[in-house]
Amino acid sequence: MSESDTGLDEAVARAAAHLQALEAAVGRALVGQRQVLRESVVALAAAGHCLLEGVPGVGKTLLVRGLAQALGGRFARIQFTPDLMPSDVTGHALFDMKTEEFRIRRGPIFCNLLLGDEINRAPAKTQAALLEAMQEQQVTIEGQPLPLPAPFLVYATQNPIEQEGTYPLPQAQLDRFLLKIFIDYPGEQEELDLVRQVTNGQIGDQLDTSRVSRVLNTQDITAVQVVAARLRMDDSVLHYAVRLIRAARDWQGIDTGPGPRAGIALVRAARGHALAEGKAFVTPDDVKAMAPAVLRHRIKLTADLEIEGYRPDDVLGDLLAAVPAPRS
Amino acid sequence: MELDRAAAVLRPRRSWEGVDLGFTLARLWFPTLWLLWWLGILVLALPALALVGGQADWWLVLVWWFKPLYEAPLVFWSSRALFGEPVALRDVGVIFRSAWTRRLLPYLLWRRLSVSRSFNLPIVLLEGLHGTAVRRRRRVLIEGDGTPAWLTLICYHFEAILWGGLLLGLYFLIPAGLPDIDLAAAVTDEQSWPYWLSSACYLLAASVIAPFYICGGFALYIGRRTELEAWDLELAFRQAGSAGSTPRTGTPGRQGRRTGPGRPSTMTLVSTLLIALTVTWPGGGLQAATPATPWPDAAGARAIIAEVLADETFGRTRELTVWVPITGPDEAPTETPPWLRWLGELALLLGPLLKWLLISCAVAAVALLARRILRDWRPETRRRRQRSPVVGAASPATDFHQTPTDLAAAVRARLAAGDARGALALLYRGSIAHLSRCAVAIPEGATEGEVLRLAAYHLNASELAPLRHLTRDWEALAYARRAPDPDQITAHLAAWLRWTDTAAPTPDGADHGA
Repeated sequence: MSESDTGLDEAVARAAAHLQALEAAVGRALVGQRQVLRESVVALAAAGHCLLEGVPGVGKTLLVRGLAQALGGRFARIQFTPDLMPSDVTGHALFDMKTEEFRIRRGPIFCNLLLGDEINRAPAKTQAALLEAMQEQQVTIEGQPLPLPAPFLVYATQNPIEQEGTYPLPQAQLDRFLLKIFIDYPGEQEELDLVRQVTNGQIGDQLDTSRVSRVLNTQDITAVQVVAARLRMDDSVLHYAVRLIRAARDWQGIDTGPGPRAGIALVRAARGHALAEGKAFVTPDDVKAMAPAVLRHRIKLTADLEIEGYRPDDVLGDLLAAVPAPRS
Repeated sequence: MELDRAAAVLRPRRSWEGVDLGFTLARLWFPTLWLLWWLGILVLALPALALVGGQADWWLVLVWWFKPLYEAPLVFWSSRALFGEPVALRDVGVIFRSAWTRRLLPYLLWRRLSVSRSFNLPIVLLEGLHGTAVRRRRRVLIEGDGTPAWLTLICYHFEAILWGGLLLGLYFLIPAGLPDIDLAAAVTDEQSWPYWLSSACYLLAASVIAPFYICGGFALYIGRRTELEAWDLELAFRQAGSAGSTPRTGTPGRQGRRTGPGRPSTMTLVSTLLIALTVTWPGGGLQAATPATPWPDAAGARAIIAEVLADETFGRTRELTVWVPITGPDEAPTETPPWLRWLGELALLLGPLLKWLLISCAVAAVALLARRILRDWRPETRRRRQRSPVVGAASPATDFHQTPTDLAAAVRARLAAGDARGALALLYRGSIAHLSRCAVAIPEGATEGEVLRLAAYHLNASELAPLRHLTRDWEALAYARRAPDPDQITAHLAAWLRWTDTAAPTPDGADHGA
């Protein structure tokens, strides 16, 4: 083992410890949902934005508030509504009567961790303002480019039911999200623990994140992201990731396949996953573990499968089982 | 049958106009017809209930099958009411005796599913014909007209809609707290009370539709007879014959042709009819109009009638469409230019070609569609269809099942040659091959972690631990280029030999490199 390998291993160990501490801290507030928590942490390590989807009351907002509590940095929350304007998100210039000059008033987007609650409730132009900032990592107000603080991560939520009066995100904008995390109902025992924990000494129904302690700061997050980006990835694993993406484009039942950005996202997510697992290199297992979350919002099923009630995860399951893994 | 006393104007009508008249009559006579229908059905439904022993489905089938039995009294009563001889309901016995005759039997047996029932019942019941005569009469009257069949189809749909509407209406109007109607049971579970409720709704719907159905068919029948037997002309002559006699009050419901003596319209009508008769009377010519011989003798009339009936154009309506050039009175027809004639000839040539081309395309499209439907029909191909091979997909799983004959010797040879990667790869492949022999199904897409999870279902902890260590070292070597010590590989080999319990060579395959 070379010296660089030793140094990387130590950095990986530190970063993995950070991520495990983060998982443990948020896990105190969000009972169950381990897979969801792991994917959220992976997104953080891979410096990618997340789209959280789930029915009301499964803990989407609680998850992000817990993450914000554990991470430190500046946290902001925007409740997306049909009358929300782009300037409500990004900020605007206002005339200061005292100084007789225009002054930039920065919007809530200038933060480290942004929770966009029910993003599909806002009209397309407001969504576009946020999504543009996510891509560019900067906001332009009155012609003046303003960089967003690093790290900048967006966790947006949306509800799969009650689609009336919503503005579904177009495919091109969904592509900006590294992962789409689906939060399902918890298991019976997990739900029992959750109800017990939340109702024990709790007044009202506000989200309780008091159990979550701060375990990381913004520098730690940046360091973790740097380590994740340095993880070793063998060519065979890289080929495997690309093979998956290309197979998805030709797969029966998939009308529109993922673009090249999906391959990049898959590799980034796999690095994040490997780091969360405490590994200094990426294996096909990491790629496979992150493929559903990376691809489920980047593919569009054919009309007949949609009518028959298939979900993207069903088709992706078939695809992952059929594409040969690099075990040679 | 007194045509003068008809409750409706007797004149030739188009088929749907006739149906419209029938529906108007049904609205006029609805209470009586509805009660007659229920009286008819009660006679059958109650004994049938006892007969089938509470089996709602059989009961409903019986009641449905004998529908002509309840419709016959309606036909009989309508025929009397139309010509001013309505039978009172207290004489229900007379109605049923007259309606339920032997002639109805075919309509309860092999003619039950006839789609022209509403039209045929008046022929059978009112004209008293049998056997061949009734068939010939039916052919003459119906003469390829599809309206009775359409009437049956439409009334069937109205009946179904009304039935469903009644059932759904009940379903939605049941107050909260009362037991709900199980709609599935209402149409499938013949033992349940919703099924009986559904049957009752059906009978109610059928009772509402039946008067309209019967009157519609009856009006079609009357319209056809009016057309064939010229009842309207006969009526006009009768009125002309009675001109100057006592004024007659018009029948209620008659419209339009109400005439009276002394009115100018009466004379005008009679004159018009006489002129029309003169012109159209076959062989009559203008002599028919002379007052001395207004009618031919009986034998001559029979001959003329036979001649008219034999004429193939009798009773037929033929529509011709011709193109008439619109030109001014002074315009001479212009010569068609040669290019236009050439274009016309080309069109005549290309027309059939184009027609066959379109037919071929349609056939090909249908074949393609059928092929696609058949392909999609197979459930296993719905999801698991790969249009093109996976790019760059080697088949490592296939290679994994092929191991050297003496795997241990091959591993040692590679270790001796300093090929640690080759040795470890061979050992890992040997492990997977052994798992396959132990009936652990390992799919092509399974990764190292998934192989371990699959193995965990079949191996105990002591067997699994060496495989776990081997996998860990293999992953580090394959994906991070970190080769383990040769001693470690030797230890893995020893563990593998213990696990497989075969120091002896494995049976299949040749030596393949990693």
